[in-house]
Amino acid sequence: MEHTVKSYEAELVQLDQKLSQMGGLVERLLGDAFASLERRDPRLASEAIAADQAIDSLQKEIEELAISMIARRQPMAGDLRLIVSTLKVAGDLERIGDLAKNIAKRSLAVASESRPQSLILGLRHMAELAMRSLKNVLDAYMTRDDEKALKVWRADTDIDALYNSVFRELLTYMMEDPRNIGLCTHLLFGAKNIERIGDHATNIAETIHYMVRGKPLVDDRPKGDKTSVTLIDNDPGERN
Amino acid sequence: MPTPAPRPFLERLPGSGRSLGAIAAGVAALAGGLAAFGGDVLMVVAALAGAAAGFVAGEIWRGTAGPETDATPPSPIELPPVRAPRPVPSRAPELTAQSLMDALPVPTIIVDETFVVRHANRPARDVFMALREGGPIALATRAPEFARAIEAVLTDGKTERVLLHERVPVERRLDASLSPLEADGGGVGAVLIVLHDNSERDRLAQMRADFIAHASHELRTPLAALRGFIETLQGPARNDAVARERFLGIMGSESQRMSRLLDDLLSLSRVEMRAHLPPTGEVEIVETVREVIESLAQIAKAQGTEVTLDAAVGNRMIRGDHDEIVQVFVNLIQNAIKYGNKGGHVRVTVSDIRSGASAWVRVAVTDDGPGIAEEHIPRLVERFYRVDDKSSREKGGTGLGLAIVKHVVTRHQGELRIDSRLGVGSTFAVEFPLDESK
Repeated sequence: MEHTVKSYEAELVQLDQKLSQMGGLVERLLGDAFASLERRDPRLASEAIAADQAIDSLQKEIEELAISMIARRQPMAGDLRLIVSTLKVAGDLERIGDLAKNIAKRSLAVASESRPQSLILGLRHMAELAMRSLKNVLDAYMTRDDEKALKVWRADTDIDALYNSVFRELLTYMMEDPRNIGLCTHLLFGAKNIERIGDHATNIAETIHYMVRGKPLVDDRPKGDKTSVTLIDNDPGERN
Repeated sequence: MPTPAPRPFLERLPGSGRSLGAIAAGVAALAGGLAAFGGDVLMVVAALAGAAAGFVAGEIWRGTAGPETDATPPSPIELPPVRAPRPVPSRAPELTAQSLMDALPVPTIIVDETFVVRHANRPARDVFMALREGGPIALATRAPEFARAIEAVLTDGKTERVLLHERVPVERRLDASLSPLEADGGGVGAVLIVLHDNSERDRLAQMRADFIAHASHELRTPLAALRGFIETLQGPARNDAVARERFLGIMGSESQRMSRLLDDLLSLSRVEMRAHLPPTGEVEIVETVREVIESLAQIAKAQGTEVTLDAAVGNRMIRGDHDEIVQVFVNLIQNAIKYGNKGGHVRVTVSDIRSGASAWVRVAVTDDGPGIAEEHIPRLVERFYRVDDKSSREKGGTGLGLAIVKHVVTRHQGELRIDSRLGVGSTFAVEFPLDESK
């Protein structure tokens, strides 16, 4: 459909549609990236890496449209918040796309390494939570659903808790057998990327709250990532 | 507001033969596209297309007048003349695009040229929970190829077909057929989308593979143990009565564990099979919990554990599958008995919670056992994840109980919350949205 710019309203709708389109691409990229890691599918990984370009160019389109709208229409109050929020959300989505692309790249690097399937289970669990958060927060954006956004915001502690657990698990594998180090390091970065994706979903949730309510979320964001202070004793009794 | 005001697209339809004709044509067009989906769907759609076309021609609801009967030749036996049946006035409700779509057993959605959902029938809303009329189609799926297909139908007026692969909230594969609906002034005014869910077929294949992989992996250890004991009993311990008693005891419990494992694997497969289908039955929570506690009385007694029910609410109905809900409570309460302290206390609490506009019922199972370390909590629902492999095996755990709980709860749109402190105890709570129509 040709989007001839008819009115301000039409432009706002167009902005929403572009963001939704971008969201769809990012959701797909994240899903494909993790699937390529899990199933060791280099073809899927390459597709995912290539898809990031479309996301970047959509972000530019959204930026241009939003800036030109601000300049020409001089929006006020709710509309101004909406346009600024779209800009911010597009930025977060672009970052999520980058992080997902990075997972796809790592899957290329470890495609030939042998590994026990149990290693990927924790990561899979994390990826599922992150994909769910991303879907819910995008749905919340489209429906301006503050409550749904807050749910995503709170659910981020689950991803963090899982990340802590996966972090410990991977460290233990590395200590058990140094031959695991190469693979586990890539998986560790993959887990970190997913954890960061969760944080960006939380950012989007905060933006939605601001957009709908007109005031920022005052509480501190729930933070549960403790891996920066985690050390594991080299005690063989630790593993069960 | 950025969401465009819903245009009265469907409201125009009832009186307008032309638009209904367009719907009929759209449905008929779909019949062709659906041919690959299988016979029965095709027949239903074809029949509906016929019905809609007939309605437009003003035929079907009024019946047809038969030939004149006045000129009947005299017959040897006098019989009352045969009359054409009198036309019966139709008592059918006015046929609208909505009623037509609602009658279709397949998920069907109409999207207008601004990508706003004009109508979605019940099966469609079951497939896409977030979907709502007047909202953007992106709430159903933001899959890039789906949006592209809608756009292509709107511009070219041709039918399109896309395969959708959704990963969250449950994995599923959908085959979508998109056909143009003619606008009043000519051109394409909207897109009719019919979905066919292929998840079950794909899932079945995946499920078989998973089942075999897990069964062979998990059964290997107990089987090896059994064989070892059998060989010992046949050989060195042939005449050792004490060892024989002990070994037979272990063999008995190992074989019991194997059959439990198979049971759990089968339940998990069944639940996963249906993960994409919303539950259809109704379950009353308080009574169900009470029954489960009674059924576990023997096990609790053997452990010296006291199980108490604290239900501060009356009947609470949810939309759910009775057997699956029972299994959730059995698994949670049994776990609490098993992993709590011997002679301890398990408290089951049923309460109401409100979350914004929606009402939920919460069932919490609290034990006073040793508790679970923080890093294990988020992993407990993963299949075969065990906090302590040895202790779990001793207690006959299969590593699947909570995975089953999590799957059932997800299918019921519910939540599972786990709270635990070392040395204090654990609380496993499930929350289900109440069936508001009750």
